[in-house]
Amino acid sequence: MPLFKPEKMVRVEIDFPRRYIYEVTKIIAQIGYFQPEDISTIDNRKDPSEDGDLFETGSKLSGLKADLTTTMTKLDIPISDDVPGDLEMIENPDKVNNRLEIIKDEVHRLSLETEEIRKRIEEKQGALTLLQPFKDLEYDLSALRNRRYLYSILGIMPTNRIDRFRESLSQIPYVLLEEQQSNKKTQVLLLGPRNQRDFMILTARSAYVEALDIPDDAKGSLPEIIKSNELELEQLNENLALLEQQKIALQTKNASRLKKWYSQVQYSSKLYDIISYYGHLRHSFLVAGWVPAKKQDEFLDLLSNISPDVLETVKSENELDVNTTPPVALEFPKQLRGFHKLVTIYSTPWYKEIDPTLLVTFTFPLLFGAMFGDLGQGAVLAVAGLLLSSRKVKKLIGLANFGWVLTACGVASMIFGVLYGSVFGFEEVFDPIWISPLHDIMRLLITTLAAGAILLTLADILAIVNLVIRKDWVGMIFSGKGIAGLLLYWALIGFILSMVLPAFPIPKLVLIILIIVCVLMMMSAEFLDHLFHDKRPLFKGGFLLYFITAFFELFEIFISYLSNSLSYVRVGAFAVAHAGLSQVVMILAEMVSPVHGAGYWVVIVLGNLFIIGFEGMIVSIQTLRLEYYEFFSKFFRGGGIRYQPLHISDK
Amino acid sequence: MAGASSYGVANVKVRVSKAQLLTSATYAKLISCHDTRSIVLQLQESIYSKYLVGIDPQTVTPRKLIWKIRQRVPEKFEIIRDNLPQRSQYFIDLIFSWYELINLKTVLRGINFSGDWNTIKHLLVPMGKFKTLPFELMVASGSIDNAILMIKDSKYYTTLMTARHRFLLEETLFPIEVLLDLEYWQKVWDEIENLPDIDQKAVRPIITRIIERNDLIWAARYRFFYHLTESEIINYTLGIGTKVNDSIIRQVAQGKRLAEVIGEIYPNLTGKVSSAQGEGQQLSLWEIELTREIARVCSSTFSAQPFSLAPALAYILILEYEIQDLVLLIEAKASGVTSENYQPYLINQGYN
Repeated sequence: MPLFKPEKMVRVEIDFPRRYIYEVTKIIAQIGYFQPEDISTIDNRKDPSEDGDLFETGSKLSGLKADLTTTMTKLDIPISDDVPGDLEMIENPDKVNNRLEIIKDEVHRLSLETEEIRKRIEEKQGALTLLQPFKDLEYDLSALRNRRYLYSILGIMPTNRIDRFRESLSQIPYVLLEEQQSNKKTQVLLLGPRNQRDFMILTARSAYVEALDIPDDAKGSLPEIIKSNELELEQLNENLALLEQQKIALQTKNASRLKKWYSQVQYSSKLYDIISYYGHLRHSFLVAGWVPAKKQDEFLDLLSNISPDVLETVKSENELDVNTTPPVALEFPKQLRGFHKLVTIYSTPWYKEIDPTLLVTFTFPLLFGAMFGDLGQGAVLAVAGLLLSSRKVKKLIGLANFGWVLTACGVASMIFGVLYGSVFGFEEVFDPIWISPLHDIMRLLITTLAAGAILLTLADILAIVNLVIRKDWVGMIFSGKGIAGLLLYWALIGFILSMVLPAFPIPKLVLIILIIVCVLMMMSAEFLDHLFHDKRPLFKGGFLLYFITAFFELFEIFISYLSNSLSYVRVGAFAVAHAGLSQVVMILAEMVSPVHGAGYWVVIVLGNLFIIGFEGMIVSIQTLRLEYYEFFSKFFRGGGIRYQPLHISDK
Repeated sequence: MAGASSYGVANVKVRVSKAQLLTSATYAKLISCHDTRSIVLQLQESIYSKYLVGIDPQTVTPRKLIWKIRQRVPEKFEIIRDNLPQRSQYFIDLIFSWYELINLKTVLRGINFSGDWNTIKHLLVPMGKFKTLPFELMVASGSIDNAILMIKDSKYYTTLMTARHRFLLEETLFPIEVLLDLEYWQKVWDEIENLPDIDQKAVRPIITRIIERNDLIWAARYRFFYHLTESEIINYTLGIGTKVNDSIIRQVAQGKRLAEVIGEIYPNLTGKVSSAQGEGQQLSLWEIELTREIARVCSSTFSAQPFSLAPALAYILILEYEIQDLVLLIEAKASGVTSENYQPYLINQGYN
């Protein structure tokens, strides 16, 4: 299992004659480890319409799928998107289509009749709903319609638009009666001056008022109209029930057949989707994609079993052009997945670089433990982590991978707790093995500064290794991320130490010369890169611009050395803060109960919980910051593409 | 404390994602590109490179390129959404469903103009792993009426059915699109109330600015392009903003110049758009200016409200504006529009 480098991938190009298209596609779809590339833009066909039948089949399948969906939906047959792997591909959709047509016609007829009746029921119900509130009024409709000075609109509208409707009517005198039917619909009766008829119609329309359409021939009082509508509705409901029975019979007869066709169409559509990724050569098809190198032989065997005319070209990473980057396949044991997640939050590792997950597995708990050193609180975190990773707490199951991160941080915290002599904030239970943060602050800060320098050196070495992986030899020697940068960093540290320590073994002059040499190397890095790789112009933008740019880049490097190094002082500072906070809890507990009664222990427990929750979170954020901004930024490029192979049963 | 613990991980994700937004330097390089090919090469140097795998810079069409880069939106959204506390996920899902609404409108337009699925599908915003409406089947259904019936169980059904009678009478999608927009933003506004207090305070200024921009631009557009009356415009706007209330909407509907109205309510924007240009062009430029204002409000939340829902919302909006800029750049380069003609329409000019 590759822990530092992604799994080796090879790029496979398959060139095959048209007659093998289904065999090749089935293999690609079923093996589950091929990640195709969309190369459909490659088209060297003499006549682009020559593969028209393939696209025609693809689009016929889309149509068939739509027809099947519509038919099944109308018959209330559940549709499943699962694709069993043992299905036959549909090469001629017309055959299925002809058989479907018969069922479809029957369903369509039934559905049209049902829809028609439903529509009429809906209309009747709508009319009844609108009229119900007025059922007790012996009111002639013609009276409402033909008023001389009054104009009225009776209708139904969205409840949440009523306020806007009122606001829009504020220019005229009006009366708006509302009767809420549901939280979504309200029936309204708008009354206004007849000379504002056009305004009222326009405004009601824009407020989405659906005006009640009572036929002109509807005569009589409102109760009479309601009664006749109710009778018609009853008859319509009886007709609908008959149609429902016919539907159930049709459903029972055809359900299993339709489900089978749907699965087949779904499967075939997926295969045609894959075909749409293929490139077209003059007389053949071209497929390109990625497979893990270890699967290469198995894959090629499967392809060569089809026919000797199926030609494969395999390119390993060394043979790829510069712009082609393989996808990144990384697999970790469950204990490391949380750490890998911390890396991918920053970015997915690039194929041509070291994956920092394993380093983070050590450095993250180390930095956390140094800032949060306490035997007891660390043990609590470790137990909480184990509980989280056991997946027993259902609500936190999504964070299970982070359980191991928490456990590792807890264990590191326990180790540093022993080194600092602290358990649940008590500093007198046992003597520190190494140092007491509150009593030797300067020594602690200087130690963390030195540890930071070591971590930054490790990051610089990783940057050099990455440049070696990329075969960027000029960058490896001359650039700020290469040997020149690393030497400059240590020469600067040496120079500062020689100023502070009179007995420093290396003379200042040697260090100054080393600094100047490194600076010159770094300033000439881009020029040398252009020179060795035959890139022109040698000085981009002219020599003066090149020099100014190089100078400022150098200045930035100096600043980053300083800021990155000083950042690690926070590790010591947080260790001191942690001890200080624990002391505050102790003082508070003493104040509450000087005789160490129940109050004392309540404050100790609550204080420790507060420290674990609050300070634990702050320390986590600081650790993440140190990892991302001080450590990763030195060597980690990211931007990789995840390896996500094709699988036919994917939904 | 509660906010910090709930939003700790999301905050880290947003901060990392924000650091990956295109820089001013990349913007400058993109602007200096001569054609689609050079834009592709430049984007291959950026964080967008992962979406451009297999793209041939010589032959790629602007439409395909736009579709490819838009895949960043659902990917980033998923990362951020999954790390938000559950109580905020519904709201952020609602914000993301704006893309579903855009797609729904595109599909309805496609059906109305008898477009086929192969043409329409590339105009849709990719939704990634998020379940969305059965657009392909809707197109296959062949009519607006059938397409509406196909999404009977969706949250859009009632709205579509309400506007349907007007569509059938007027034979234009205008009433459907307007009502979809109104209902969506009203819902967003109402849902703020269901968020915890800290999130309400953090999120409301951003949503308010968006609704105010929409109301102003809608009102001006309905008056200028559609010649609608004041009462119609009132019904086609929300009027729930703090600064853009009904009185302001009425002023715009009555024909008061947008520059004057905006100058009064947002004094910092006075004179941002030259009045020498035609009214239609001024309207577009004001829309951009108001969108920049939203982006500014978004940016301020990263430091002002770090442990709330606001940074996640702000990032999603800022990413969308970045994509809108890229779309503009790609289309401008493909059709040979000079930089002085399209630059005023860029929302951002990069970060950092």
